[in-house]
Amino acid sequence: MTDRNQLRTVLYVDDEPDIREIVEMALGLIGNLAVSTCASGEQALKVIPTLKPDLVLLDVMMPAMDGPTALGRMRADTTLPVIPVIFVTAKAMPQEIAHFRELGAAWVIAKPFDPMELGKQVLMAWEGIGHQ
Amino acid sequence: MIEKRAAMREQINQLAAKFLRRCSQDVGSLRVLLERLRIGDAAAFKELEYLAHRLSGTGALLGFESIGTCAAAIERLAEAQEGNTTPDQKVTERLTEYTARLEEEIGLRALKLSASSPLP
Repeated sequence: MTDRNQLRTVLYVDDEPDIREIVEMALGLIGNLAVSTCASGEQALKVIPTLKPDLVLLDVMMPAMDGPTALGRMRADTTLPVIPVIFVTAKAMPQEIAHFRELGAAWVIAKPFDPMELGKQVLMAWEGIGHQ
Repeated sequence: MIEKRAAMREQINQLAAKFLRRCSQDVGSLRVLLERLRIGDAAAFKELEYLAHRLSGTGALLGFESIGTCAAAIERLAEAQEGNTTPDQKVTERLTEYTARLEEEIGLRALKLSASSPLP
């Protein structure tokens, strides 16, 4: 894995503080990975231009702006680089996953996930979306 | 790495205890929403769905599968009412039953937790 393709920064967006805390801890188990979190899609859209994360993990069901809307807004903003987005959701039936992929999600991680295994899942997804 | 994982398990246990304490308040909020359905306020379905979604997602993630399952049943039923302008009495009754089951599960899990690690 070259430096250019190494996963270094992740932004996790979820309105649930407990889940944000768990994800921060879980991804903290991966060495050399900086993890930031946001409580809403709106907040994420504000920090992404300066944070420029390698990868964004988005909860699907959030009040005010849900994950798919936030992804749509990210893609509509031509000043932003195309950052891969993974949806983290309980809606992970095959037809739901296909729908999220059509919306532009690079990957889908099903909730509930095992916190001890989340890091591996994210790294696997990162490799799977062509950054190995 | 082993220490980090052990610390994480400990933190998850602490979050789980906090979550269970908050759950009782959330059940209270669910009951308020059920009352709103009884008086014909169909907008309460969306709020029920969202609150149940939170309980289901966080509960399951913290290892409370039975709480997650009960809350998911409430979420699905409330979600299926989208577009209904008048709450159906039978649906409200079923939601009330699911909420009672959820409360029971929360009580059982809280009891188990306090038996395994008594609060000071």
